[in-house]
Formats: sequence, C-alpha cells, structure tokens
Amino acid sequence: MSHMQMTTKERVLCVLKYLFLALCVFVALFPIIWVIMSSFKTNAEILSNGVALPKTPSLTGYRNALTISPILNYFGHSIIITTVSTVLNVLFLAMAAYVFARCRFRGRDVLYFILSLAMVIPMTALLHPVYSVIQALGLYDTKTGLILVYTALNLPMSLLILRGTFLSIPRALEEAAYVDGAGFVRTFFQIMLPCAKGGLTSAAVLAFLQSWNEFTFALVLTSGQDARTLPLSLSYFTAQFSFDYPAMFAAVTIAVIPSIIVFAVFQEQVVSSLTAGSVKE
Amino acid sequence: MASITLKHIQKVYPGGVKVIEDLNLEIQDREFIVLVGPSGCGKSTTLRMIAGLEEVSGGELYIGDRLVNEVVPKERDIAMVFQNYALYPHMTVYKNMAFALKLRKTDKALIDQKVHEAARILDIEHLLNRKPRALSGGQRQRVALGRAMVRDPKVFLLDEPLSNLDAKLRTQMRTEITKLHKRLQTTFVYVTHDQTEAMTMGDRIVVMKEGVIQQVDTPQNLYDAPCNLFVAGFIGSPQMNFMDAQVRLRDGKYVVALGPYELPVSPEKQAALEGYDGKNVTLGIRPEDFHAEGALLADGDCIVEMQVDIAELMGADTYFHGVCAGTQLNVRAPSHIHAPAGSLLRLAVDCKKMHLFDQESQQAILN
Ligand SMILES: Nc1ncnc2c1ncn2[C@@H]1O[C@H](COP(=O)(O)OP(=O)(O)O)[C@@H](O)[C@H]1O
Ligand SMILES: [Mg+2]
Repeated sequence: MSHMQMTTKERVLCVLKYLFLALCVFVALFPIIWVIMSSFKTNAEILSNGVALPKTPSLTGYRNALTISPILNYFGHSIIITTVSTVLNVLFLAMAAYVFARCRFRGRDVLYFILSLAMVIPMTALLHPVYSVIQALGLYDTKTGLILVYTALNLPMSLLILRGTFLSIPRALEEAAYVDGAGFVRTFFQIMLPCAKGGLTSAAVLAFLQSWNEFTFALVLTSGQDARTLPLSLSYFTAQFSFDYPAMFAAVTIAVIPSIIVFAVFQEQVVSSLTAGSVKE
Repeated sequence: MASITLKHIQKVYPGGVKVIEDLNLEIQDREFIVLVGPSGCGKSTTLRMIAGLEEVSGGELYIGDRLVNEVVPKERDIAMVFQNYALYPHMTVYKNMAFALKLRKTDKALIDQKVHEAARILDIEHLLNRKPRALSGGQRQRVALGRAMVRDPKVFLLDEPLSNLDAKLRTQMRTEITKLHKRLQTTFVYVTHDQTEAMTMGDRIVVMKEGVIQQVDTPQNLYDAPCNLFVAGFIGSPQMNFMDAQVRLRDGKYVVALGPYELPVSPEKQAALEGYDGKNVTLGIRPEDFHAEGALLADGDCIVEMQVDIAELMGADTYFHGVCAGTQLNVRAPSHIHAPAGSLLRLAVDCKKMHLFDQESQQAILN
C-alpha cells in the first residue's frame, strides 16, 4: 500500500493547494461578510476598528434602515417587478427559442444574429432610447415600464440558453408526440417545456439576478415612490450629511440576501446548463 | 388495420437532395413488411413519409383507401417506434403509455385497462411507476412498443427499433415483435439495415438501394432468386460468392466455364442463356451450396478444388476461406469436414443453385 501514501512533496503541494483555494474564497467572501458583520455594529465601532467583531451585536442598523429609507416598499416593488419580468422573459423566450431551434424560415439566422447582437451593446447606450420609448408609451415611473425593460434586457442571454437547450433535445421526442396525437402547441407545453426544465431554470435565475440588481434603468425610469426598486434605496444612505454606516450595511444585506438564496438553491442547475453541450452525455 | 399504397412517391429534401425518385409499393393489410438496405438508402425517409413526419414531394400515399399526402400525423392513426425509443423523460412509464389515449379523451378506466393489458403482454407491469431514466435499454424498448400498442393503431411503424440493444437482447426482442404482430393482427412496417432481422421477421421484404426498390418478395424467394447482384450480395450471411465466369456452348448445351472447370446448366434453365455464348458473366454461389461430403463428390460433373487459407470452426459448421480458379471463396461445410490450411479441398457445386448475373446490367440471368 506504500504507493497510496503521499510523499512529503505531494503533501506540501496539497497544503499549498488548499491555502490557495482558501485565499480565493477569502478574497471573494470578505466584502460580503464584512458588510453583513458591520450591519450589526455601531457607527463608532466601524470607524474605530473596521475588522473587529461587533462588541454587542445590535439591530439598530436595521431599525434605522427602515426609518431612513422606504426600504420595505422598495423591497416589495423589487419582488413584483423582478418576478413578473423573469416569468415573462422566460415564457416568451422559451417560445422564441423553440422556434429558432426547430423551424426553418427565411431570415432566421439573420434575425437570431441581430437578437444576439444585443448582448454586445453596452447598457448605457440604451439608456436614452429606452427612456424615450418608455416616456412615449406613458409608462414612465410605473412598474409596468420597468417590467417591460427588464423582460427585454435579459433577452439575449435567455435566448442563447434556451435555444441551446431545445437544440439538445432529440427531435424524435416531438415526433413521438405528433404521432401520439398532440399538436404543435400541446407538444411545446406538455413535452418540450418539461424537457427543457434545466435551461428554463438557469435562464430564470440569471434573469432574476440581473433584474434584482439592476440600478441604472431603475434610476432613470422612475421618479416617485410607486416603482422604485431596492438598489435605489441604497442611495438614501449616502445622501445624508452624516453617514449611518450600520443602516447602510443593513440595507445592503437586505438587498443581497434574496440573490444569494436564489443562486444557492439553483446554483447547480445554472452551472450545468451554462456548460451544457460542451460534453456529450 | 389497413393497407398502405405508395404510388410514384418522390422525396426531395430542402436544399434539393433528391432521395427518392419514384417509389411504388403496395403493403397488404396485416402484413409484416420489412424495408431493408444499407444506411442512407432512404428507408427512414420512406417510413417517415408514411408517418407524416416528412412531406411527400410527389406522388400519392394512401393508408387504406384514404389519400393522406396532406394529413397530419395525428390524424393518420399510426403508431411509431423510434430507434432511440423517444420516451417522454418527465413522465412515468404509465403516463408515457397513456398519453396518446388521454389526448383522445378516452375514458379513464379504459385507459387504465389498456395500459395494464399492454404492460402485461410486454411484461413491464412492475415498471409502470418508473421514469424512463430508471430503465434498461430492453425495458425502454418494451415501453416504446407498449406506447404504440395501447392505441390499437391501423399501422405500426418501426424504425430500427432493435439497433440500440445488445446482440442477445436483439435476438430475443426479434421473436417478441414477431409474436406481437401475430397477436395484434395489424400492418407492421419495419425498417432495418440488418438482413438477418429482415429475413427472420418479414412476411415480405423490400430491398432498397439509393432510394430505389430493388426487389420485393418473401424472404425465401429473395434468398433463392435474387433479381440482381446487389440483392444477391445483401441477402444472406455469410455473403454469396461472386466469381468471373464465361458462358460457353458445349455439344449444343450451355455450360459455365470457371477457370479450368465447366459447370453444367440444368436443361430447364438452358433457354435463359440464349445469346450469352462466349460472354463473361458473374457466377454467384452461396457458401452452403458447395458440398465437401464424400457421397456428393462421386458425381464428376460439378467438382471444383479450393486451396484452403483458413478454416473457422463455428460449432455446427466450419467456414473455409480459400482460393478457387483465382477467386476468393467462402465455403460452409459441416464441422466433421477437416481441411488444414494449405490443403486442397474437393467440392461439389450444387449446380441447380447457381446464380448467373449479367456483368453490364447486373441483373440476374438465371437463378
Ligand atoms: N432532413 C434531411 N435533409 C437532407 N437530407 C436528408 C435529411 N434526412 C435524410 N437525408 C438524406 O437522405 C438520405 C436517406 O436518409 P435516410 O432515409 O435516413 O436513410 P436510411 O434510414 O435508409 O439510413 C441520406 O442520404 C440522408 O443524408
Ligand atoms: Mg434510418
């Protein structure tokens, strides 16, 4: 069994490997942990010793966050806008992606190319045109306006993921359904959508995260209290004369926790569908 | 239950690839017909046109008396079994089998009864609550058959249903599908590239090559009287031996000259060779139509000698590979015949079972 035991050199390498990974994890997690930790401290504690643990963890930061900004309202808006836009995005793009994956029609490839091109256009370049369109539609400062924009904003990514998913499903499955007596629409909803579950989930997660964290459009397309989303609430804390750091960090914590939960729950599916197709089963 | 008629069927794929030019075929009601041919010859295309999964580019396709060129699959009352099974992965076996019936708004109790009956016949009752993922290849194949069965379709279409199974299971499923056909009394159209499957299963076999039907006949007739070189070479395993030979007139009778040998042609077949005197032809003899047994060698007419290269013992038979009159030969003999490599083996040719083919047209001159 001697070959099973590690030589000294291997052992050192192994330790180094773990040290390196630990460093990576630390670099990635430190800011988030620091923010969450600091949200339980007082202003004085943060300013005197930034990295120490809170002496007596207090919820004052959270209480202040709720009074300084309408964070709960915004949280509600975010939930509505993000959920609806994600559902619409995935539903419509699943249909579009299916057609792109399966139907032959004139101009298909050009159309697909144009739609994917949206991925390389920087978001800031879209600000003004989108603002004008939303304004013209009378949707300025409404949830509907933001829902519309977010649905469209995630179009290229969802289309890419979902088309790939449908392409990977064998055609014989649909043909079996047709022969069994299902029409086009039923085949799509009862056979293809369930088979595309992995792709749908990851498209939805990515769309959710994108919409949840979106700041620029939310800022430009809203003005009042009816449609503002969670990322905007953070600006309340930096705008004060004296910074209330614990309150700000508490707000940040409230804002990031849903993203973390969503990603943690679906992480495996997202990763596997992003690499899908690279390895044949 | 229905007959199927293909009249002057054409298929051109988008991009202009003409796969089938002019295909004519009549499939009888309740017949088990096998489409066989090498890969890419248009078998699947033909089957998929019958199913309605591919458009017919020209000609007329009838199921029963009904012209179905423009009829969508779900209205053709056909069932299809796919090569890779195509089971719905998110449904249990039960739901897979019940799906088609549900779409037809069949009564729940009736669905239940039919699914259980089919499952019992196929011996998959204990699997009804499993998902396809949790089944072996053979079990999936049974489910696919069950899904087709529950519907009592007019026509069963099967596209290479056994090619994903291992050899042993394939032999077993072969007999089961044949039994199923007897039991269901329905028209079966079965596609395969494997001549053994075709020979063992079909009532009639359609041999295809490059989109053209070569011959349609019962397995026995195809084997005994192939209409051209392609069919002769495709049907039968091991393959028929082909040799260059010449037709000669000897004492007013035609004989086939093969190197130093002259093989007689039986009197009733003489007429077929009219006009071939002196012409080169291809002589075809199946490996089992050579005989090395002592009794048959007594008659001096049809004797040839083969230089043995290899002897392969298969159990009941031995295959001898060697050279005779300058051509490679395969001979199948009972295993009590022994001939070591390098030895000369005397063989009696069963001259009644000779096949002659025209070298230009490749058509059979006599069988
Ligand atoms: N969708 C398609 N588009 C273009 N050519 C096709 C298509 N499907 C099949 N073919 C061509 O048609 C020919 C016959 O195919 P197929 O019917 O699948 O053969 P088989 O089932 O006998 O192996 C092949 O040469 C194949 O390349
Ligand atoms: Mg095929």
